[in-house]
Amino acid sequence: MTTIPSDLWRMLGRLEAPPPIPRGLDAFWHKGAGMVRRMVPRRHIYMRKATAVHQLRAAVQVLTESQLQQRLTETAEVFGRNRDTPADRIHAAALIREAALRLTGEEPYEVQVAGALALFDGSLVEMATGEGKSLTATLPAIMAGWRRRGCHIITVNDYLAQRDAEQFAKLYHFCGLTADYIGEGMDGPRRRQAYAADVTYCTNKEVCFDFLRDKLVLGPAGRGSGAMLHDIDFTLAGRLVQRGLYFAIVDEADSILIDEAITPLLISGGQVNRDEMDCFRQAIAMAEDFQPGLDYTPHATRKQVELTRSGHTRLANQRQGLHGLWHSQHRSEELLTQVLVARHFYHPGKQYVIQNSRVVIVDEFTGRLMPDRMWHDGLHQVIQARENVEIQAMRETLARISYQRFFRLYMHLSGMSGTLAEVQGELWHIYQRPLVVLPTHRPCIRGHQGLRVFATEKNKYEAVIAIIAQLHQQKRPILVGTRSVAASETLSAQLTKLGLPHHVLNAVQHAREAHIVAAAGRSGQITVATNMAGRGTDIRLDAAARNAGGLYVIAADINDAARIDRQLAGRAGRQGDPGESIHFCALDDILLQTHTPRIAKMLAKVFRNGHVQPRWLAAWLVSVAQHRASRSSHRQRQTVALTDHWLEESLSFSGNTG
Amino acid sequence: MSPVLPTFHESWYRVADLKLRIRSSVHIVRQRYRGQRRYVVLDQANNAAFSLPQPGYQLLGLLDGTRTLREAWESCCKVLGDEAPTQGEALDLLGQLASNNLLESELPPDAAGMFERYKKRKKRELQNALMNVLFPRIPIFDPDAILEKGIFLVGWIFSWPGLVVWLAVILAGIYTLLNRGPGLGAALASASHILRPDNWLLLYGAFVLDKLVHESGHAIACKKFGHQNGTSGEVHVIGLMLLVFTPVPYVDASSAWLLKNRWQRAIVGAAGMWVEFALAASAAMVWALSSPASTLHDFAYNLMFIASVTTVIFNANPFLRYDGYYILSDLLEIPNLFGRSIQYATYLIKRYAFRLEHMVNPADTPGQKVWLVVYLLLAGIVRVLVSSLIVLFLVRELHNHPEIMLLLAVMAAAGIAVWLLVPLGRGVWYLLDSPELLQHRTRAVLISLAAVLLLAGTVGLIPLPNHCRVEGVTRAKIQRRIYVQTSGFLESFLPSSRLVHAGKNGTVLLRLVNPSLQSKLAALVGRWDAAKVRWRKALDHSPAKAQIYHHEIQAIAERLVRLRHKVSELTISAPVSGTWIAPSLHLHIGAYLHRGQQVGTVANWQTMLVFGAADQNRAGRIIRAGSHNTEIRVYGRPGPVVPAVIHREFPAGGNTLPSAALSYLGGGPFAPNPQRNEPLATGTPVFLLEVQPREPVAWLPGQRVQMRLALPDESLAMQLVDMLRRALESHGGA
Repeated sequence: MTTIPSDLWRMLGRLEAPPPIPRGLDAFWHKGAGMVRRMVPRRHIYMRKATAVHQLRAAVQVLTESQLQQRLTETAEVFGRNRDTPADRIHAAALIREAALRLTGEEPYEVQVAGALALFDGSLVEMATGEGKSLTATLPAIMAGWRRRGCHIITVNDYLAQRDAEQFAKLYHFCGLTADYIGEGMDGPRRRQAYAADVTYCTNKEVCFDFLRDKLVLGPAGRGSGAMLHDIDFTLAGRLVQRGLYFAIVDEADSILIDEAITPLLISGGQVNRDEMDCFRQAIAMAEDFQPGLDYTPHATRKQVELTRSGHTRLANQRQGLHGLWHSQHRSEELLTQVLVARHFYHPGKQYVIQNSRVVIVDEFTGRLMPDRMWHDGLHQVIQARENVEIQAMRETLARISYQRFFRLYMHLSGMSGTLAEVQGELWHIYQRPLVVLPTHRPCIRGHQGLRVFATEKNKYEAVIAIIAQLHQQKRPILVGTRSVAASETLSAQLTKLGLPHHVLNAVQHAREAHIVAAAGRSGQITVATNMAGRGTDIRLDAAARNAGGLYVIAADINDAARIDRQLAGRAGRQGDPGESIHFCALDDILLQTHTPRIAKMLAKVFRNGHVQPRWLAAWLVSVAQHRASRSSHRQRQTVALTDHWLEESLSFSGNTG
Repeated sequence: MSPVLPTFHESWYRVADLKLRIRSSVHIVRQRYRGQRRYVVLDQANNAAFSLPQPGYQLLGLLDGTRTLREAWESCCKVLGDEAPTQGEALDLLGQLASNNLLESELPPDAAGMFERYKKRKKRELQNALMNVLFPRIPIFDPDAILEKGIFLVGWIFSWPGLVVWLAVILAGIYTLLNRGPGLGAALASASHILRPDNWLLLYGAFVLDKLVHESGHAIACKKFGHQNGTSGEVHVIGLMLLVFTPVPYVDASSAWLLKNRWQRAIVGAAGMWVEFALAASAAMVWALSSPASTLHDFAYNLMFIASVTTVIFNANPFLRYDGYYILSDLLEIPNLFGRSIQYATYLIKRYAFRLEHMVNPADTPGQKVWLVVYLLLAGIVRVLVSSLIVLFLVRELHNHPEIMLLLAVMAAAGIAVWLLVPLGRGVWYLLDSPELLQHRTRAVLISLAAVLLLAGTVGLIPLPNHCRVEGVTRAKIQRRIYVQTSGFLESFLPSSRLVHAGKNGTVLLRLVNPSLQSKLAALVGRWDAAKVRWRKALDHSPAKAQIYHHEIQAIAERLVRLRHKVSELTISAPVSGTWIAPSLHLHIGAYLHRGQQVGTVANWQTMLVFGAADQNRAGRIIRAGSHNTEIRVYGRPGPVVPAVIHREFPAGGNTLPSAALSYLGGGPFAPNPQRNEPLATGTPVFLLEVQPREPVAWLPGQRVQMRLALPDESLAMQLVDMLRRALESHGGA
């Protein structure tokens, strides 16, 4: 007789469709319910609980190590049986807090304990940057780990996953748990081992791809309750790497749950087709003759081009006598359009970089590289052909899932970030998680120097260089955030020319960069980084830097969302440290050009070679552009959700609820 | 959401390897619509039908349960090239089929999904019923088996011999109606009785019978042509439709969709009316030949009326969603005509007003465009007209039943919400939120705002000429009634219709004699003489006595003057110049006429006036307008409109009409006061107007006229509000 591990059984059960996203009038009602829920003073409730934990400190401080461990084992037992009461949780938190203090030397503050309890209850927690979110996550992770059904702590990069897993391994071990992490390039058995651990640190991308790969392995058995018993192969347990999606704590929740949710994740495969590759090259050659405005119209906001009548005729003439895809009028139009789109909206260094003669997508939001992703509908191939690297096959999708759907599959989802309040409406709508905003442990004394909008990029860089040079003389540590890899390189070249020593980070090598970022708080240090490079690493100040006025953050570009600007600024002035931030932007920046082209053009004429004044005008302009940008990306996410809905509605007969 | 382009679709993988098959209960029939070949897919299990274009059909045809979808699609692409459906289109099509449970695959059926879809369909049906709150449909039973057995008995109705019989019945009906029994005139005359409450039961009975016959007509035709085509023309639902709370039968003959020949489809659509007209003809014969007092006679009359008149107004009307609509859309080969025409209108707005590119034109051919636009315009007008007529009719008929009025108000509110507010809300939401408008939002919002403002401005702000109509009666401007002032026997009189003139030597109209008065006068004269004699005698003897007699003489003289005056009043002369009207005076010759009795009138017809009576809702505005522009038309005279001015107004309302012609009893607009048994007393106050024509007219007195009074210019909205208020007050108040 074969036995099926209950984990596998549970996993198969969980593959059913997640709870639906409310639509139409339901959505309205749901929104109203969300607004009512906001009135619950969650912050107060959790702070009070944290105080209760604090009051237990004296009682647990006197325990010996073995007594403490004994008590932890007892509590773990209760949690394992799913019989824990709120009082148990407070007690457990006090014990874990004591263990953390003894093992890591760090004692979680009350704010962190409050955040931890909120996370365990499935809330989204807004905590300022530098408040120790990694440590905060360990408390609910331990409590969830005690349930023995796995707990994923989802971070933004591999380095952070590994670092945190190793840093807190002892603590987990002390609490009777195992902790592991998923890194890029790990093989199946190693991954399986990592997921088998009680607490698994991983990146959103890895956990999601592992899920998709498991689905491919499962095949027909992955149809949930619709699967036939004979489809379920009992050797599956040995081939799957995950054991179900039970508890997730998402770090940088806004970036993962919102910003990255614009594009669904795909696994694709397929063979190279020589003919098609020729077609791509021919298309690029052909596109040379097409004039913007005459043969086609580019639409900047939609990132689309549209062939005009003359463009259609030109295409019809040129495709005559060609083979392959050119046979079909539809497909030749698609192909040519993609070439033109690539020409207008996809530039090396901004939207992608070439690495090891491969086209690697750069996440425009975070500046991170996304080697596993490909653009679809032939765009990727067109760019590969243009960059003269090997053209990968136009691959067929094998599995697909959107983040919106994936994270809703977790039985318990919680998350934390420094900036969630702006997107709480959407988070409630999609993930149905309430928000808890926690105060900072120490009052924040960061100064903000406002925003300057320059007429041209050149003016902007001059100003940035000037302010860097000036601050550097004061020996202040400086962090310059840029939006794209190309911008950081331009800036670096100019700094080198002036002989200013500096470090450049492009979010490529997380480990090395984390060290550089950690050192960015030293006096006299200049660090140029794309927005998210070295994220998750504290910038600690040394004494000289603190005396010089703390870290000075210069945002050399404005981001699509004010949230991300705030995150960058938040790197200064952590935990009551001194610090300052300033934002720069130019009227010919891509953000303003895309979303407020007319106003930007007008202002560029008025403030030639200067910066936009008065300040409120500049601030208004940027806020309009950012508002429009966030609306547009919100729409993209809506489209993803709509597609999900459509798939569920009409393709449910395929039994494949991806 | 329906992704169509590009060729590849990222969700293809989910279905590519499935071996799919169309469920065996599905019928697919080829049809031609405006020269294009389309395929109608009809599922008999749940009565769902939709149509596919050729390439989609080709793909479906390849799905036989042995090929995978991928293979089918690829071979489709090979054969059809650019025509082949893209992956997105194929997914869309399959999704549609699947959501109607028409697909089978080797997979275990998605039972939960099926229940979910069933629930959703039920919900949609309920929503539709709520949307159609005025005309909800309740299915009752499945007549297919009965029809199947009985079709050989009745199928001949829709055949050439059937046509001959039909024509014979119709002609016989018309012949009897015209030549036998009460005749056509009587038939038309009794039409006004049809809505009397004592007739309601018969009317309803006739209505139900008629609709039953009508619906059976559809069912039989559907079955018959279905048999001819080999599609078996199944009819599975007979039910009750609540037509404004009146249950009437209906039949679902949607399998007529499967008929290839559009004329056959049209005949199925017209079958109801076809048999109804035959019924009307038979009823006419019964009515003409039955005894006029019998219930059968009355019932036949009702049946005849319903089967002919309502059929023409409702069923044959292509602008309402009855048979006429479906026949028209079959004949035009534009299915879902109304929906399509609305789609086309929105397309026009989006494309040309909002300048959206990439809009798919819902009209397939240029000819269709014209049809769609014309149809939309006409249908809009007709629908608004018919629904407002129905509402007005109901309000007029039922305003005495507050509970029914309340229900009507609720239904009207629901109607307004469904037909006005919901689309309006959708429109606003679309303008604010639709991603489609991304590049054009400002333009779209501005244009919509401008359109709304323009409309609101025209309706709400721009003052437009405003008029009201008031009824009146003509009357001479100078007109005196002549009364007897001193009673007497009529001795002689001037014959009626003579011209008379006033003045010192005015024409004598009549003479009375009063012998007693005369003898009294003679007696008094005698007494006066005697008194005079006594006075003269006394002057000599005793002056004191003379004084007394003098007084006596004076007293007698005074009485004499009075009496003489009275006697002179026995002769009546014309007080004004004009025409003497005393048409019945000759009957009184020699009769004793009492003082105060009217004997005739002298009227001057050179100048005529109109006395109008306005109800209290209008009087204020008329008086405020002080109208100088009034037009007068005389009832029953097609002559020219006479311009006139208001001559005098009587701002104090009264309860008496100037003429009985203005009361209900005389055919006028004012209800008499039921508490007072007088023809001129009204229930509500009336305000009198005197209107003088500007040019000489040749009217007779007492003619009923209608006056069109100019009111101050007011916006359309205000006029409408005023009209409604008046309607409510007059109906609610009465």
